[in-house]
Amino acid sequence: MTWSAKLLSGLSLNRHLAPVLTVVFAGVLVSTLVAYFSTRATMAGLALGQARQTLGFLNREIGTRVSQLASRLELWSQEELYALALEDSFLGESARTEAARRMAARVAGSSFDRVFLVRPNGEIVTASNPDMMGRFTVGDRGYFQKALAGKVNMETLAAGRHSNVPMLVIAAPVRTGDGVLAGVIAVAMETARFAGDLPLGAGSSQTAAGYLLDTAGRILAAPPGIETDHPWHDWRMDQVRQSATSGEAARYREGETGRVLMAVANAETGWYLVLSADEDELLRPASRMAWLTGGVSLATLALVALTLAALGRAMAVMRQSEEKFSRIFMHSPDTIILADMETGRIVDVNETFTKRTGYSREEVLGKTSAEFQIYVELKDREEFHARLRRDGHVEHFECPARYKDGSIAICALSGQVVIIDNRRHLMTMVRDITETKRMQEMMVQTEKMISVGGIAAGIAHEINNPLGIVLQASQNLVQRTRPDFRKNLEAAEKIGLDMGLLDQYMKARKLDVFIEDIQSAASRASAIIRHMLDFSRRSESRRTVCDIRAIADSALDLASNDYDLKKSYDFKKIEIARDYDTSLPDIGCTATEIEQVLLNVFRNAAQAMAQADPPVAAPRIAVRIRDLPDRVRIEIEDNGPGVPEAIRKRIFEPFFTTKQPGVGTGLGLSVSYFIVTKGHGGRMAIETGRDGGAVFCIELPKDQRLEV
Amino acid sequence: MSLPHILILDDEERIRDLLTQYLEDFDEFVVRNAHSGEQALELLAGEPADLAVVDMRLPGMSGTQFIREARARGACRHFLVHTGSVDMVISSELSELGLTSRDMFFKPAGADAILARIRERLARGGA
Repeated sequence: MTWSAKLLSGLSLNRHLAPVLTVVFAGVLVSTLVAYFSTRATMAGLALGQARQTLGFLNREIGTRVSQLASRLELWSQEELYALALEDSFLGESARTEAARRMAARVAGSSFDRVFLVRPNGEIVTASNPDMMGRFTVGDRGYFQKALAGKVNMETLAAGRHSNVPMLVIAAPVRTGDGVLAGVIAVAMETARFAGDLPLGAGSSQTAAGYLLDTAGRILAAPPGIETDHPWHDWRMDQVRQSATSGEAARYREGETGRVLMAVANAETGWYLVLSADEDELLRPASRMAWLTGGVSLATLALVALTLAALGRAMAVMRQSEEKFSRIFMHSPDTIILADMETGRIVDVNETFTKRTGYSREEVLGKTSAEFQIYVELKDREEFHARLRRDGHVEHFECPARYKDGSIAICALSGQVVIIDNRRHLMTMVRDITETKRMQEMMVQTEKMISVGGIAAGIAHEINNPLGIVLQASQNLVQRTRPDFRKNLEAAEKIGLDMGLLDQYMKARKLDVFIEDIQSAASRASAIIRHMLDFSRRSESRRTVCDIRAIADSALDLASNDYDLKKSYDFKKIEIARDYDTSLPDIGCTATEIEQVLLNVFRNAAQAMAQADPPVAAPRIAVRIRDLPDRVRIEIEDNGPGVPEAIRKRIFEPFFTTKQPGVGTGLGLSVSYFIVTKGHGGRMAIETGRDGGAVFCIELPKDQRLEV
Repeated sequence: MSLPHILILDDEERIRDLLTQYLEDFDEFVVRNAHSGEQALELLAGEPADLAVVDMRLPGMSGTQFIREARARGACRHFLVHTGSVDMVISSELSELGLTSRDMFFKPAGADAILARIRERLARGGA
């Protein structure tokens, strides 16, 4: 995004800002323009003033030089030699020679080119350069005629008769000693040479130049390198005359470039002194200065605009954050309470507060938290407030809270002092961490089991061997007391024992039951060890693509053939209601583990219903499998007595059991929870069904990585 | 008809004896036992067996090594594993030696289950 686009987007961010900025922009634009033009005019005035000064200097210089020449000539004209030289006599003849010598001497080292004496008939009698004589007459020249009339005068000639270049001629009458007009003495000089040492190439600039023009616009003198053999155009002469009259600069165009000229008319010679230059060049400092001034103004505008835009944005952000705050306040999943700091009275609570505590807003507004006894221990409230006053904020202050229905929750309080409407308020955020705490505790228990499982793995071999002996020995005991075995009968016969009677005795004295007890105790001990090992088993068991329906069916099949279960309850008597979604995706899991989990839950359900008092009339287990967007949910609902709240909280804890001693290990559900949550990244929870029975919910994520 | 020979290999004396005695009662087998793989191989060198019930953790050579060795020497045809091991999964080595999960028994395992499998293997293998 470009700078201007940023600026524009910044401006458009706030609609209220636009008119303000427009006014500011207009103001600054006007002041920028004024600054630009006034600076430009001032600078241009300065430049033109300088030109005017130069012209004035040139004008005076030319005037002085011409006047000096004229007065010098006037002095010369009074010298007797020249009057004598004009006589048509012998004496005149020799005087002419002397005059020519004198005039030539005067030309050398002067600014004029020639001096010559003219008779009243216009004939040049003698001159500083001898080649002038006899070649032409000057009787028709204005300067000659004026001089004959007695006036010292000067004339600018477009082309001299001798040299054919523009000339300036000054002429003065020559009189005899008794005052009779004898002729005219005149000096002539090339105008270019006359002006040669004048500073016409004005300044250092390339395009500026000074000119001397005669009244018709012929160039009398110009800086070196400028063509002089053409007259200035009439229209340009108009500009020259206009400038000379008004004293102001005049503009004209020369091809593509605009030029400016300034002219002054020289009183002595009637010449126009002209300075001309490219307008751009002349006014460049002015433009630069003006641009600088305008630029500074524009930069100021930009700065002001940016500041305003930033201010507007900040205000918008503030407004947004205010809205955000109130939204967060109302819809936060945490309870938020706003109370006046001085009085302790509640001024606002959010929706979560009313939902969680059961108190309505009206019940708590204007009261203190001590008044409606939300704190179980008042000293917790005092400590929380004391820490808040001391530090200005409190993080994660754990304490029990009492809700309206009397239930106790573990809460984490965070408090912050905020200023609202110039009053100090206490904002308390309350998070109910009862559930989190419980889960944490359970995971701690589970972790313990994992380490216990690790120990079990080390000693399992050593325990399994003696258990093997116990089981084996009891089996041998059963076998060797059987009355139908040849070897038993042979051994009994040798010592006169009646095997039939022994069998009766064993049954009468319940020896057969004792032996069975020994066997089942050994089996149970081995089951506990196996369950403990389940915790420590590294999850090297392979995840495969599994059909969850097949696993559920297989687990139901196992349950109905379960030997241990058969002793307390016949699973086959339970009505099984399968309700599987028709399009269930295969998910990645370890089939044997999930099967074990489901078997544990089925066993648990069957045993719970078997133990129910009064007995469940028509025991039923519903198995539902649902396809959810990111997971598969298995629900196992029984119609038993359900699980009381107190037990529900602890049901997944290791070694927690409500079964009669010897029926369960207290590890089945705990292992199941472990397999589902840790092993498969899923969730397992217990809920209460519509009929009051227990519902175990197992959710397995679909995105398990598979090993195919 | 001669009875099939069975070898019980276990370093735990009581297990060895109890299982031997249990099986002997049926009058179906000639049952011998050994406490180590080395001793078992010596016994089998005299007369081969039809089936061996092998513990895995043994002093000296392991149960797996014994099975490989006995098989290589042609000293025994069938093998069952009877172990107190915590690793409930059949090892790839044993799989390669032709054992399946049905040949695995984890202590405490019922002798009746072992007997059933012995009968099954011998009936099939003897045919």
